[in-house]
Amino acid sequence: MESLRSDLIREILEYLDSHSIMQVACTCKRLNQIAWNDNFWAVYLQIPKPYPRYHSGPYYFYNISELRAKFYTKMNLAGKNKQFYWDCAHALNNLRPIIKKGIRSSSQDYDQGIENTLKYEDSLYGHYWSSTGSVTTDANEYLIYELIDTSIVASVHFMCYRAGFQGGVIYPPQKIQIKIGNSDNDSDYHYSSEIYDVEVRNKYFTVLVLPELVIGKYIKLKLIGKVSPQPGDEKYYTVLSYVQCIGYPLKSFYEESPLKALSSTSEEIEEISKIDSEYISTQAKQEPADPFIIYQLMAKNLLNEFIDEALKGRSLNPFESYFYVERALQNDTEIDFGKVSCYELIGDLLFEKGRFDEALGIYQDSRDFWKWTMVLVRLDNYQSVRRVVMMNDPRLPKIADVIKMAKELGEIYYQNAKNYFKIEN
Amino acid sequence: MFYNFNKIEEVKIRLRSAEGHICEVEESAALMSSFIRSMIEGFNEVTEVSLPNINSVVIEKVIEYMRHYKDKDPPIIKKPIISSKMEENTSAWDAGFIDADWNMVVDLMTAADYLMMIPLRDLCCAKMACKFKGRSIDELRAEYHIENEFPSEMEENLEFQHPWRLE
Repeated sequence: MESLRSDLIREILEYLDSHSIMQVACTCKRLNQIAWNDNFWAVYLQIPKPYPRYHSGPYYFYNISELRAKFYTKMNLAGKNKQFYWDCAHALNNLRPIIKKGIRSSSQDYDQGIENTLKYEDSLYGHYWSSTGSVTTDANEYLIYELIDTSIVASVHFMCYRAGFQGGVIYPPQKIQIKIGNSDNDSDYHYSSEIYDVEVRNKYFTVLVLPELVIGKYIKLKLIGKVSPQPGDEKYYTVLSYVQCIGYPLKSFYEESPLKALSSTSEEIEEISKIDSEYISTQAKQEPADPFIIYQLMAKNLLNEFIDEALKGRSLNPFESYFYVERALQNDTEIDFGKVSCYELIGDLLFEKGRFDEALGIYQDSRDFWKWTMVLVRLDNYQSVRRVVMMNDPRLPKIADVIKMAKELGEIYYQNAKNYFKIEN
Repeated sequence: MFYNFNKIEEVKIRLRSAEGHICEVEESAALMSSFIRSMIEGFNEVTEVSLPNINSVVIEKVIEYMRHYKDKDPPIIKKPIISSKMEENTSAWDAGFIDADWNMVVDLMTAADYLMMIPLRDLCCAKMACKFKGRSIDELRAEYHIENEFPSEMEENLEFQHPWRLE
């Protein structure tokens, strides 16, 4: 460290986030001097910081306060007037689902059309959109949706389908790109997002548009490439079970704007359900919540209350189950598995906490046989592992895959696996 | 006399290290270094460059980097780095290349700076930033043998001024 010139150390610090710079600066005098040089911060703050726009996880990503701050900074730089701020503040506080209908898809298998992706409840009961099969993996597909009205688009969410009846195959695209436009002609899309890689997992994927202000009436999901062949015909498919778009329709400004400059009526705009304690006591027992309602409950800190109320009357959907299990694991309370729906990420939660038998059950129910085998390896249950390997099914792991899994789990499991299958090196 | 015109051998640049060893590298690869480029363009028919402050292990490593990026551009690492793992910040080859101990990275960085190879210097900077990222002050001091030079009054003052250091 002493041998390095100050300007090289400055270069290193430029690669760190501000918190780490503070830590490094407190270690010794020389680093402190370099970091507290005003010139350093002037340069550092001008480096454009990338804002992650693409997220995947057990629920869909939203941190509205952070996004709002970014948005205002951007608009402030653009020099917008006060009225504009008022309107935007209102819009960002009242985001809602804005897809009106599906218009067109590049292809469709049987009756598995684009309209099947719109309702979250449907996706749980095996309704999905499927492309037709293609011979190679480099075929592209697209989905086009019309929004309620010309709207501010905040984010787009989607989920891939896991075909439980085919042994748990997932059919995601390789990559995804979002386009927004004012008509559904191919040349009229004025916004294109970056191209993001899609994981082969049954997760919610979120593409944020927000720190940018984008207004449009149509969105297009460009699904680039395919991953999984269907067992049987060995053709490649892309299958999505749920697509949602969050934003704010411009028409609502006239109805809801704090200033009420103009008034008009429109039937197309659905009433957003009011989320409060009253809503919870009436709705929670009857109707499972879709991701957007869960997001609103989370923002208002009412999610725990909602889940408690729901448990009295019905079983939970996968989305609610995730929060229920996560909370129960944190508080070390008992989990009522009779009311939990299977969702592979719940299995991940249980696995991390060392509750392997329960994780095994969840993976089995959600038809995730790779993860299921991994738990068996962890439990040293090689009789069952052997049965899986012997089945000789292309969808199931082979001996080499089992060894790889064991290696990732740790040295002991790696040795056990090698001993069992009598493999040297 | 037979002469194979298709296989005209490329001019090789000889790099003389601090110990006096000589390492050879193709001219097209060596041009990545602005220092060597200016030597070659400045004086005609220069084929030997002496580098008295770089040892031969480091020169071999630099040549490996030059050969790999002879025909393509190295990936650009975003500032600030996203993770403390190098694989998540840059390509797999780069991460594997720079996976070395502290002294090697320091030497490589000094060499890259001397040879004016900006992509390699940035890679070394990012690697060091990875080692610093997410560490507490005490961990950093222990790892890099830094003595606490601040007088105790000043230390208290620092704690008072910057509560984040206790996080």
